[in-house]
Order: sequence, then C-alpha cells, then structure tokens
Amino acid sequence: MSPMSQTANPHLIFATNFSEACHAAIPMVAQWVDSLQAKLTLLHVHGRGAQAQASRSLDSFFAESAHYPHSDRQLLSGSTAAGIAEFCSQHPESMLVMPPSVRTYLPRPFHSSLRTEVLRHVTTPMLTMLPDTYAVPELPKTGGRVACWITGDETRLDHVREAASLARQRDAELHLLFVLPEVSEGLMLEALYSERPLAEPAAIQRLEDIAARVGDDVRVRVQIGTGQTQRTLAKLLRQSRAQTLVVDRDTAVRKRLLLSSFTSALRESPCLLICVPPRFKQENDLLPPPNARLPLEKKPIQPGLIVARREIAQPRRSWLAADWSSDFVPA
Amino acid sequence: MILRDSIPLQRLWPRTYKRLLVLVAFDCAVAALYVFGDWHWLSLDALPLGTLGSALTIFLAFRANAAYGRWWEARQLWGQLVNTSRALSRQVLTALDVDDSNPQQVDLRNDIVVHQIAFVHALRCHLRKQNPFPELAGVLGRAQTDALRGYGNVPNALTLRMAEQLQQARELGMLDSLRWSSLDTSLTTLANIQGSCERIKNTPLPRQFSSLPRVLVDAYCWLVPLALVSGLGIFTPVASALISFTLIAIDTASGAIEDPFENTVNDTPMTALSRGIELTLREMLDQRKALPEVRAIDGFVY
Repeated sequence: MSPMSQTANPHLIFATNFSEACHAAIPMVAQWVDSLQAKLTLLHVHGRGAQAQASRSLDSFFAESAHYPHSDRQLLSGSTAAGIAEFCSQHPESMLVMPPSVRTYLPRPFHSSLRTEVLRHVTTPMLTMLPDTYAVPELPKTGGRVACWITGDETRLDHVREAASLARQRDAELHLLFVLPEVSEGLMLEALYSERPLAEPAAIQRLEDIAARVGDDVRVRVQIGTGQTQRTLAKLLRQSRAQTLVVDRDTAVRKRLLLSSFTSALRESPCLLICVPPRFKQENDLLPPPNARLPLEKKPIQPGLIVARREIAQPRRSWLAADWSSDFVPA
Repeated sequence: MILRDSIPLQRLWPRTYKRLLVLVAFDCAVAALYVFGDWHWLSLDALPLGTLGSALTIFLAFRANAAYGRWWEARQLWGQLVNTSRALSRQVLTALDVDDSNPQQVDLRNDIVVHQIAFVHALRCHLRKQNPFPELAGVLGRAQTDALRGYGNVPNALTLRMAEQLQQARELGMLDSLRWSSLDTSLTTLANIQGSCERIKNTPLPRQFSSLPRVLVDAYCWLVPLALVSGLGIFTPVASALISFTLIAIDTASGAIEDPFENTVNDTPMTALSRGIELTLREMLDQRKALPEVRAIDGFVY
C-alpha cells in the first residue's frame, strides 16, 4: 500500500450529505482533482426509505463533476460512518474528503463528530477542514508548502510518509513542525512515561532523524516553537505559510467518554487538514528509538534551513526506503 | 438560490446570535436594574426613538434595495447568457455553409458550439473562483484544455478562440463578411455579459451602504430597552429582543444577497443554468448526453 498521492491515479472520495458546507468545499475539491489528476467519487450514504430522493440529490450535487474525466457517484444505504468506512476499505489507495458539518452555534452537549467517528474506522487518509477555518488557502498549481505536525508521541510515520509523498507530488516544501512544552515541574512527571522530546536539542535530533528518511528529492524545513500547543502550532503554520497540514489520526482525534472530537490544538489551524490513520502493518514502519544517532557522514539539518535539493534522474519511487530497519540507515 | 417557501430561523441564527445574545443580556440587565434596583433614571422618552426608527428603516430599505438590485442584475445577466448562447449556436448551425461530406467543416462548426458550452462553464467557475480545467477537459478534451492553462481569464480566452474559429471558417469559404460580422456581434454580447458579471463580482456594495446601517441598527438596539422599560418593566427583554431581531435579520438578509457570485445558497443558480444551457445546445447538435437536470436539494439550487 503506497501513499495516496503517490499512486498513478490518486482517488478522492468526497463523502457528502449535500449540506452548504459540502457545497462550499466544491472549489477546494476541484482544485485537488486538477492538481493531483485524481479520480473523484461522490459518495452518499442514505437512511432507509430515502433512496429515490437521495439519488436525485446526488445527481444534482456537484453537477460539474459529471464532466470530470474520471468521476462517478456512489449511493449506499445504512449507517453513515460504517458505510463510508466500508467503501473506503474497498479503495485503500484513496483519500476521503469530508467537510465539517454546518455550525448552528447552538449548544450540542451530546454531539459526537461524525468525521471523527469515520476517522476512527477508515484506513485511508481524510482531507478535511476545521469549522473555524473560513479562508482555506488556495492550493497553488505547483509548489507551495506541506506541513506535518510531529508531536513526539507517535510511534509510526505514516503521516510523514503521506506528507512527503504529497510534497513530492506537488513539488512543494515539506515543513516538519514540533511544539515544545513550556518548562514546568509537570514535565518531570511526563518524562517518566513519555519519550517526547522536552528540550530543543532532543527535538531537533528527533526531527533530523525523521527528515533523514524523507529522501533527497523533497526539500525539508524543520520548525520548532515553544509554548502552548494550540497557539504555537497556529503560529508555526502561519510562519510556514503552509496550505496543508498533515497529522497523525491519533493526534487529531480527542476521545472523551462515549464521544470524540477534533483536538483543540488544531482549532486555530489556518490550513486544510489531512488526518492519516495507521495504514501499514509492517514492523519496519516504526520510528527509530529517540536516542538513535545519524551516521557520521550524514550532515544534520539546521532548524529553519532548507535542505539542499538534489535532482535525481531516476524515476520516482516511494520516498520510503524498502527496508526501514531499526539500525536506521537513511534511504 | 433559495426555492423553499419558508426560511428556518436556524439559518439566520449563526449570523445573528452574537449580537442578539449581547443585546438580550443588556435588556435583562436594564429590566432588572429598573424594576429591582429602582434605577428609574435609566428610562428614556420613547418618542425620539420612534423618529430614529423611521430614519433607520429608510436606511435599511435603501441598503436592501441596493443589494437586491445587484442580485437581480446578476440573474438578468445569466438570463441574457442563456439567450445569447442559444442565438449564437443557432447562427453557427444555420449560417455557416457546411459541406456535410467534409468532416473538417462539420467538426469546425460543431466545435464552435462546444466552445460555447465550455464558455458558460468557464464563466461560472471564473466567477466562483473555482478551477475549471477538470470540467473543461470533459467538454473540450485534454489537449484543448491544457492549451488554456496559461490564461488567467479562461472565459475570455474561449471567446477569443471562438473568434479564431469563425475566422478559420471564413478562410475556408464557409462564411462571408456580412454573416461573420453578425456572429462577431454575438461574441461581443458574450464579452459584455462577462464584463458585467465581473463588475458585480469585483465591486462590493459601497462600504457606507453596508457598514452605516449596521452601526445604526446596533445603536438603536441598545437604546430600545431604555425606551421600553418604563412601560413594560420586567417584560422589556421580550419586546426588545423581538425588535432587535427584526432589524438585525433585515440587515443580515440584505447582506447575504449583495454578492451573488460567492458560492453560497444566495447565489445566482449558475450550476443549474449552465447545465440547462449545455443540455439545450447539445440538443441543437443532436448530441443527447445522459446528463440530468440540476434540481433543488432541500430547497436550495446552486
């Protein structure tokens, strides 16, 4: 299974309930279809007895996609989250697009986010935006910037793989973002059960370890900020001027009793959001231990500096080395 | 465009709730202080407020009229586009001397009509700031679409290309100067429609028209409970909130329609209109594609 954006014909699955938010997302989806030359599937899951109306609505929604070279419409019935997850599981090389629900600004004490429910079950990345992200940055035809948030708690690199693949596909810069916590006595307790870097040298080392695996055909920047996560992440994103933020699914979803929602740390993100669930079962996708060291000949990356880009004449391949062995030999 | 008979209040709530909640809190505070705190000096004479309300209504009506004028002009322009598209296609299909045994001439004639279909789709995307190329690839083909990618104004490039095709038809002897001039007039009409749509899109309602009524509505809503409290006492928040909601709703509703090309439910239904134009023009070409009409979804048509 390779990253969605790296496959020959990327596949976007636009799950819609025909809401205004879904309609407002159409220009963004059109831009992604064009920039990735992707196949588009419009997906609607309806309740029992509503098939005729749902079919008419699906024909009328995003009517312009009828002309897209590779597009189709799929109508399913049953549970919404389960239906979407099931459909995505049949198309593992795809990316799910789910806009936020229309905000009513009325209290919803027992509201559970459908997107996070879907996200918990799907095995494909999800492209979405947060309700407060009013001005979605326009995706440039080529270039631009892809940000990837490293929390330090993740044990897998699926989201980095996806971000790097997207950056490669779009000839964009990849920005690895890390937020250091404020120094406090509480950190001493956290250090007992977390391998998260708590100081800048350790964070730089961790990001260097990850950046070394990205490959030489992607320009990488490392950005580290210190402070409260939500504000600092938003600041880093503004500084990076990224159009897209890629995060690990477990980082994005906040689980509460019986309910789940997006983590508040992403609330001020001005970017489109791609949440990546664990997709690879191989052990070789695990992160190296935090104290891993680069080989001596590997030049470490300075924060904020673009890694010199090396043109490669060979055909593009997966940015991931075939063997992600634990002895950490760069690709 | 909204087709349903009634608009649920929850559609207005997201745009008005902040202002209303603050005002209701103020209304309650005024009523409580007047009734329980004996702050009778809070009370205002209601008469000047009535006069101020009349002036404010004139302001709001003026703003609503200006906003509706823009919305209606946009709809008229797209109605004109429907008519011009049909007329241009009819002219192309009937006024060109085509030898049916010559595939080059037949293809050239049909291609002009297909470009007219593409123009309508491109104009819609241009006004909604949407990427038109995936759609145009399905209408014109990949090669012709890729040739348009260098242009910032794709609909204008399409009218230029149609003019070039007419010139080519003229060189092939399919068209004389008189008929070419007539067809070129239709292309000029298309350019005028596009220019008028761009004018509406790029020129907002003057800020004085939109911001001054808002400020005055807010000021008026702050004064209303002070004028009502001596007469209504503890029930002041009910009446005051109702008056405030009425004025804020009018202000909000007129603000919602002032930009008719912003990809919202208040838009000119360009998707439905462009699909209608395409179906008609393909019928004229005897190309009956299996495209459904765009219908309203939950009372909204885009």
